[in-house]
Amino acid sequence: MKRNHFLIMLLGLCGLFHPHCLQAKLYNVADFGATGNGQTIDSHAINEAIQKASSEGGGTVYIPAGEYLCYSIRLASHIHLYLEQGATLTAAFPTPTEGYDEAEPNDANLYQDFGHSHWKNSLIWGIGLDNVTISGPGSIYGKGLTREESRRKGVGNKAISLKECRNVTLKDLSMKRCGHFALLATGVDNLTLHNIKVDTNRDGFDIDCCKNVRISQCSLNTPWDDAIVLKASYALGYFKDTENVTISDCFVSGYDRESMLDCSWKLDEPQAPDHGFRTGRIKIGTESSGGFKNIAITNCIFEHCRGLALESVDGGKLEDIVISNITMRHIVNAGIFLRLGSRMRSPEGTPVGSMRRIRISHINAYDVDSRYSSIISGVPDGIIEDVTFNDINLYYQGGYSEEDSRREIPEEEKAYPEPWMFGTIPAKGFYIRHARNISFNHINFHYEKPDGRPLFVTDDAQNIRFNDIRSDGKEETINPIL
Amino acid sequence: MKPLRLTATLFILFFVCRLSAQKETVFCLPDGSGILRFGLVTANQDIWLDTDKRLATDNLLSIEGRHLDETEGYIIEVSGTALPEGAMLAWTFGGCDSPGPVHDIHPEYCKDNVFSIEGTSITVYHGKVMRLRITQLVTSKPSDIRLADGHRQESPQILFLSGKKTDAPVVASLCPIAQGEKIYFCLYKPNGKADYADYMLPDLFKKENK
Repeated sequence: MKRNHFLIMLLGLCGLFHPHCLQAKLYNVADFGATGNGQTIDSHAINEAIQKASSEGGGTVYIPAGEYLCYSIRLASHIHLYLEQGATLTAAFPTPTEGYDEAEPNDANLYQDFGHSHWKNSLIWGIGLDNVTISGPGSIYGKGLTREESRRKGVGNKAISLKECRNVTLKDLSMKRCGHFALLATGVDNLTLHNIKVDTNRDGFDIDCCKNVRISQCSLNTPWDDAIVLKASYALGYFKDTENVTISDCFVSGYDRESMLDCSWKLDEPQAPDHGFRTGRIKIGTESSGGFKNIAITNCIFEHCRGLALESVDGGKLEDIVISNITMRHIVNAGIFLRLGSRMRSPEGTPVGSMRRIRISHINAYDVDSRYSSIISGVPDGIIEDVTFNDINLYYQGGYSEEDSRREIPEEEKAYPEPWMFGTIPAKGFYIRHARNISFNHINFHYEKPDGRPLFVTDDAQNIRFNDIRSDGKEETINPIL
Repeated sequence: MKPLRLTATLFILFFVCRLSAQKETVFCLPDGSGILRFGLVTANQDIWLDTDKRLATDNLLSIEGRHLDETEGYIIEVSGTALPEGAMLAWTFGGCDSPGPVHDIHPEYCKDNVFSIEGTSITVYHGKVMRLRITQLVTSKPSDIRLADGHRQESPQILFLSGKKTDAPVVASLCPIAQGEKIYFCLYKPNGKADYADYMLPDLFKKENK
C-alpha cells in the first residue's frame, strides 16, 4: 500500500515539474540511423523507428529537418508520423536491387485499374491499422513515384495508401508530385484530412469506400487528374459505400504542375494527358460499384479546371448529396455534370445504379466553356431524379450556333463518363435526358458571346420545373426543346 | 538531252550512295508516333546530326539502333568515339501525331502532345480524346530533360532554352557525354512485356544486337 502511494506521488510530481513526463514517447528517426542527407536510403531506419514505437504500444515517430530518401514506409497502429518543419520524405527511384514493396495480390483487380487495386506499392502504406496520424509541417515529395501504368517489380505509384484502417488523421502537410495518388484511402472509417497542400501530377485525394470523412481547409492543384474524388470501387473484394463525407473550405485547381506550391501559378500547359484540358476538380465517381450517401460539399473554390462532376456508372446509388457555396472560374468543360451510366465495371449481375435527392445551390461559375454547357444525363434504364438547383449563376463563353442545337446526342451508356462523350451539347444552359423531378429556381445564365442554342433541351425528361430563369438579365419563359 | 539525263542519273546515284553510307541519326516509329533526334554541342559546335553539317561530326559519335522484339520500337546505343572534353549529347523527342514516319519533328504534329517526365522516363500522350495513344522514351543517363518549343529547332541549345510556352511542345535535353561513354535510348510502344527502366537498357541493347 505504501509503495502505491509512493508511485502516485512520483507521477504527480512528474506532472507538476516535468510537463512531458506523461506524454507519448518520441522516437527520433535519427536515433535509428536515418541521415536526412538526401543521398542515403532512410526508409530502413524510419521503419525501424515505427516498429520500435509500435512494439512499445505506440508513440510519435519524429522526423527532424532534412531530406529523407525513401522506399516504402510501413505504418503501424497507434503511430504518429511527425514531419518537422524542413523535413521532406522524398520517394527514391527504384534500382535493379531496391524499390517499393511489391503490389499485393488482389482477386478483385478486374473491376478497377491497377492503381486502385493495390496498396503496398507506395511510399507510405498501412493496412488494417487503428489510430494513425501523419502530420507536418514537413513535406512529402514523390519524385521517384510513377503516375503511369508500369507493373515492374519495385515501382511505387502512390504517396500515401491506406486500406481498411480506422481513425486516421492527416494534417498540415505539403505534398508534391505524388504519382497516381497523393492519397488513396480505401475502406477507411473516421478519416480526417485537414490543412494539406497537394500539388501533383495525377489524382489528389481518392476517398474510396470510406465512412465518416472530414476534408477541410485543403488546397489541391492537380492539372492532370481529379483533385478530390470520392469513389466506391470493388477493390476491397466487397461492396462498400462512401458515406457521411464533408468537403469544406477547399481550393482545387489545374495550374501547371508544381506551380501552386512554388506560388508561380503558371498556365503554360493547357492540355492534360486525357486530352480534355486541365482537370483539377472535385468529383464523385468514376469507380462506383458501391454507392455514395450523405455527402456535403460546401465553401469550395475551383479555378482553371473542369467543373463539378457527379457520376455513378458501375451500379452504385448516389443519394442525399448537398452541394452549396461553390465559386468556380475558368472552367474548361461542363460547369455541372451529372451522369448516371451503365458502364458496369462491377461483378456480374450488379444492377444499374440510381441518382436521387441531390441539392445544388449557391453556385457561381465564371468563364465556363460552352461546348458542353451543363449536363444531367441518365440512361434509358437509369433515371436521375429529385434534383434541385437553387441560386445558380453560370457565366458561359457562348459562341455556338442554332445549327448546334440540332445535333443528335449519342447515349454512350457504357462510355467512360466525361462531358466529351456527347460532343457539342444542343443546349446553351442545361441538357437534360432520362431524368424526372428536376427543379431550377433562380438560375441566371450569362453569355460572353451570342449563343444560338436554346437554354434548355430535354429528352425523356418528366416534371422539369422552372422558376425565375434569366439569360443575360432578361427573364425567360422556358418551354424546353424536346 | 542525253548528257543532261546522264548528269541527273549520276547526281541521284551519288546522293543515294551518300545517304546509304550515312548512319541513322533520327528515329521514328513506323506509325509516326514519336521522333527522336540527336545533336551535338561542343565548344564550337551546336548542331543537329541530321542537318547538312552532320559530316562535321563524323567519327565523333557512333549511333546504333536496333528494332525491339517485344514491341514496336528501337533500342539505340550512342557512344562517344572522338569527343572533345565538355561535349554534350543533345536530343529531342516529339512530333508524335505525325500521320506516318518522317525525319523531322514538325511543329504541327506536336500540338497537344503531353509529356510526363519521370527521371529518365518520358511518356507522351497523343492522339485525340477517347482515342489516346501512348509512346514511351527511356534514356539510361539522367540529365536535365525539359519541355521546349518545337518551333525553335534552329540548334540544340536554342531548343533547350526555348521554354515551355508553346503550342508545339517537345522534350529536349543536353546530356554530358564523355569519350568512350555509352548512353542508351529506348523509343517504344509500351505493352505488358515491354516496360523498360533506365538500368535495363544496356542489356536490352545486347539482347537485340545478337
